[in-house]
Formats: sequence, structure tokens, C-alpha cells
Amino acid sequence: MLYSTEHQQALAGWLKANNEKAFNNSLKLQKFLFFYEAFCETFYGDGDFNGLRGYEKGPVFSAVYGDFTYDYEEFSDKITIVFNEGYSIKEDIAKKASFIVSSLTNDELSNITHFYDIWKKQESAINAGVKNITLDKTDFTGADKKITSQLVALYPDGIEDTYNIVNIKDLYFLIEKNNYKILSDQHKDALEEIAETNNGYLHNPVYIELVSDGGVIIDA
Amino acid sequence: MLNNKQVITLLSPWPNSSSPLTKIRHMYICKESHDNTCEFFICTHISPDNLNEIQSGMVDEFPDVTRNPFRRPTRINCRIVHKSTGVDYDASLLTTIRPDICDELYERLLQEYDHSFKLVAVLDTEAILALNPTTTRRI
Repeated sequence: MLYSTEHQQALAGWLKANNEKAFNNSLKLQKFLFFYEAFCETFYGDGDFNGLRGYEKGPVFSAVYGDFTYDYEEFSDKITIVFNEGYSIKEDIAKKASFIVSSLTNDELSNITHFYDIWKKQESAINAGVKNITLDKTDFTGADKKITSQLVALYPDGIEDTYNIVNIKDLYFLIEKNNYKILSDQHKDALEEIAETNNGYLHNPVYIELVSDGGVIIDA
Repeated sequence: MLNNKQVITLLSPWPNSSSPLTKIRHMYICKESHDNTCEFFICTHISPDNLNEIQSGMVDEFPDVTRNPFRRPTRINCRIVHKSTGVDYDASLLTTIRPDICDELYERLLQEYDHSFKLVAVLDTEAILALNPTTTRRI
């Protein structure tokens, strides 16, 4: 039996159809759902935080977590059906949230959600080990809207259509799609080396320009 | 020679790279220039995971053509000046949206630096000249 709502299933279905890699990462699925609702609340005032709980790694839609973890096949089939039935989703918001979760590590995504008052309000209880804490929409503050606006501003309109993401080790490289066409083995070796030698200097996402001589320029 | 407030884009070597073809690009804001020397504040793009950091000596700027030449949200490090000696910076290195920052932002950067530990780092003259073809050696 599934416990996620039709709305949550439609969103999960969208992610599965459009970004299967992120969908199959349980934490990224959760952050996608959270950011979708945070963006809706910030820009439209209609975020749906029903069923949101607070855990160590940030907000979790626990019904979705349960369905994904314990009833994956049934959940996976159901969300495809719901999505294909044409449930209304804000496509631009979903694309943005999907791109963001695909450009950061799981730890970075958790850290970002820890900035939010809706989670911080319950931080003491969460850290004390209390389980299943409800996160309240009324705790999504003006400061949370500001963080959301700033986060969205880091990913300009249309970035989803103009950049490819390449993930090597802990780095997520953004390469403009036309530039990506010249990706060579020499470029790949350079990206591997950058990921190997980064030592925390570069933060995700890392904008990269591939040069025709085989070189790579990091746009820091 | 650059003027105060002007902003250039420079390539530097990626540290520990086995290839000279891996480079890192930063914007640099000219704090002051005199004689044979330029002093810069270095800029880096803001990332989501340091979005909420409030650090003294750092100034965050979102793109605003009335204030700065940035295409992306940017953090300016006012704790350290990067000192360059013996390099002539060609106008072709100036940023294109606008070649400088506004007076108000410049004054703020100076204040932040004055309140900091005023660290100084030295830019590698030979690396700058090698990686940025429009720069020339200044005697």
C-alpha cells in the first residue's frame, strides 16, 4: 500500500521521467520535492508542505520516503501512471529544482536545507534524536523565501536547456551544450585530475569551458 | 596601467596540475595601482552551499550593471590584496558588461579591507605573463 499523495506521486513521476538518475537517489528525490514546494511557496504562495518531517539530513516527505524505500516497484509504477494522466505541475519550477539537485552532492543539498527556518525551528529536537517531527508551513519564513530567491538566482533562467552536467567524484561540472560537443579524452583526463586535486577549493557547481587545444578553463 | 575600480579577468594555473592547459579564471578588481604595481581584490562566484555564510571581509554582489560587471552572483574577498608587480594589463582584459565597479561598492571594499587583517598575497608575474597573452612585462 502506498502512502504518498497524488501530488507527490505526480512530482516523483515527473522526476523519474525527466531525471531518472536523480529520482533513484532517495535524498535527491526528497530535496527535489522540498525545493519544488519551497519555490512554489516563495513565488506563488502555494507550496504544499503536508507530510513534511524534520530529520538530520533535512526536510523529508516521509510518506514518499516510505513508499520509495519499502514499496519501490509499486511506487515506481504508480507515479508513472499519475504523471502520464496529466496531473498539473509547474514545469519551470520542476525543471529548476531538478537541475539544482543534479548539480550538488547529497551533503551539499542537506546543508542548504539546513539554512531554512522551517527545518531550523525543530533543529534541537532533531539533534536530540526525536523522530517524525512535523515541519510546519507557518515556519516557512520571509528569510526562507529570501534564501530560496537567492538560490534560484544562482541558476539563471534557461540554464537547464543550455548546460550539461558532468559529475566526477564530488564535483559537478557545468559545460555549455555547444561547448560540450568538443569534449575529448584529453578534456576528460583534465576533469578527472581537477576532481582528484580539488581539496575543497572549488564549490559546486563548477562552470567549465573546454578549449580546442584540449585545455580546460575553470570559471571560478 | 589600470585605474582604481577597474575589473579584469585573468587566467592562473590550476595548482598541482600535470597539464599546463588546465587553468582557472577569476575576476580581479583593481584596488590601487602605482609605479610598477597593481593591487587587486579577487572575486569568486557564490555557490549554493556558501550562500548563507556571513563572513567578515567578504562582500557579496548580485549582477547589477549599475554597480558591477558580474554575470553571476559573486563574492569579493576584501581580506587579502593580491599584489602584482611588473605586469602591464591591456584594456582587452577589462570586463565587458562594464569595465569597473561603482564608486559606492569600491568605497565599501576599501572599508572592509581596512577593518580586516590586511593580508597581502603576491601574484606570480611569470604565470600571469605566460597564461594571459595580452599582458606585457613592465620594467
